[in-house]
Parts: sequence; structure tokens; C-alpha cells
Amino acid sequence: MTHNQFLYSGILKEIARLQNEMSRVFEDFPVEYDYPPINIWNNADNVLVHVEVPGLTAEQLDVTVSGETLTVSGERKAEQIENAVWHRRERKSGRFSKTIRLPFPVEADKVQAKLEQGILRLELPRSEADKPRKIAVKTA
Amino acid sequence: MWLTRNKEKENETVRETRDEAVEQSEPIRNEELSRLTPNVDIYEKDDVIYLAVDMPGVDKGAVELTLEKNVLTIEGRSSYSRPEGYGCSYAEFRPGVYRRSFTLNQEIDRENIEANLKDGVLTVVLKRLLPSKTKIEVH
Repeated sequence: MTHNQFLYSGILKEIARLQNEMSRVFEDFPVEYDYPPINIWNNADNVLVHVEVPGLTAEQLDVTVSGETLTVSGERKAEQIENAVWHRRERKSGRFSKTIRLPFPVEADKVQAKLEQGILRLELPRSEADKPRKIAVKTA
Repeated sequence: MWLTRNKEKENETVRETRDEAVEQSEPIRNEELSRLTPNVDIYEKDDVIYLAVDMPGVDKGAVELTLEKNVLTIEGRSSYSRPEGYGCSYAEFRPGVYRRSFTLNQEIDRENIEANLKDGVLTVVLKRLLPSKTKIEVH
């Protein structure tokens, strides 16, 4: 096997592994959930919370964090168009509030939030006090 | 429900097309992606019909509108993916391809369909063809 072929099969394996992981991750879906839909990702230091809020602007969203609790609330206003005839109305509107428990307490003042393509992306760093600490072993 | 309503409202300007046939002949290119049915609002004002389609996670370049005969198909590919270096602890939404088809009736101007994507919402603007005002001279 040449170097390139080896590299290629390695990449394919990696792709297959990622696909497996993705399909496993997205396989078991709750049939019902409160609006808006939310995904939670984490590693040892951070938790990422992604919220689907198409059509909402940053001003219409409110995010509050306290310890291990995160609340995302806001209002999705229904289009008020004078003299409009409605043929179909499937998009949700009105006030919403969703509270979730995070995998660990976070530093509330270090939370970053951005809104892109209708997805709110929050990055919440784990609180320093909650992080596992390494204890130096002294030699006698 | 909608299918039966369709029969009653044959002359509706925009009605949903059940795209089972389309689905079979045209599978999603990347089979790993789920097919998602986006929520749609349709309203009309001053001879203009607006379709508002929720497509969170879709970039401008990933939206495709195709008009085949009288069927308008709206497709958007979500670029949402697993963040590198993170494991998933809970999930309620997934990446995929949003797709929906609508049948336009003869009153819609097919040459002037506009679409605009903002904050994960695609707005499609359809204009009604206004009856041509040919004045018939009475002698």
C-alpha cells in the first residue's frame, strides 16, 4: 500500500466513524418537545447549546444563566399584515420560554452568544470551581 | 386532510404538492442527511403571494428553487453539523435537507418569482398575473 492509499483509507475510515456517530447522535429523537428545539453538546470544559429560532432577531431573544440552569425566552411575533389573506399558517408564534439543566455549572459572565441563520449558538464555559483539579503528588 | 381539501379547492393559487413521486425519482444525494419538512406560512396581499419557509441552518448558497411545469419545489440544505471536539448530550433537531413542493395555478407569473433568505427564513414572492388591459374600441 502506497502512502497515499494508506492516507485515503484512513480518511474513509474517519468519515465512516463520524457518520456512525452522527447517525447515532441523531437517531433517538424525542417525539415531542417544547418550542424551540435545542441541542446540547459538551466536552470537559465547555457546553454548547444550539437553539433553532428562525426569523428571530437578537433583540427578540433573552438568555439567562444561573449555575446549572439556562433559560432561553423570547417572542416570535406573528406577521401582522393589514388586509392580508392567510392561506396557511404553520410557523409558530407567540411567547416562549424554555429552561434546561446544563451538564455542569457554568461561568455566567463568560457566556458567549451568537445568532446565525436562525440558530442561536451559546458557548458556556464550565465554572472553575466545578472543574476537576489535578493534585500534585509529592515525593518524599 | 389537505389532499381532500385540494380537491375542493382546485382553483387555489398555491397548493401543496405531495411529492412522493418526486422523492422516489430523486433521492437526496447524500443519504446521511434527513429529509425535513419545513413549516410554511402562505399569505396574500395586493395580488402578491408570500411564502415564508423556516429553514434554520441554511446558507444562501444552499437554497434551490425549481419550477417544473407548474410545480415549485423549494429545497434548502442545512449546514448545521457536529461541533468539533464535542459530544452530544441531548438533541431535538438535526441537520438535513428541507424540502417542500407547491403547485402554482395559471394565475401566477412564473417569470417573476423572487426569493430572499434572512435569519433562517426563506421568503418567496409570487405575483399574480394581472389581466391584460386591452382596450377594445367600440365604434
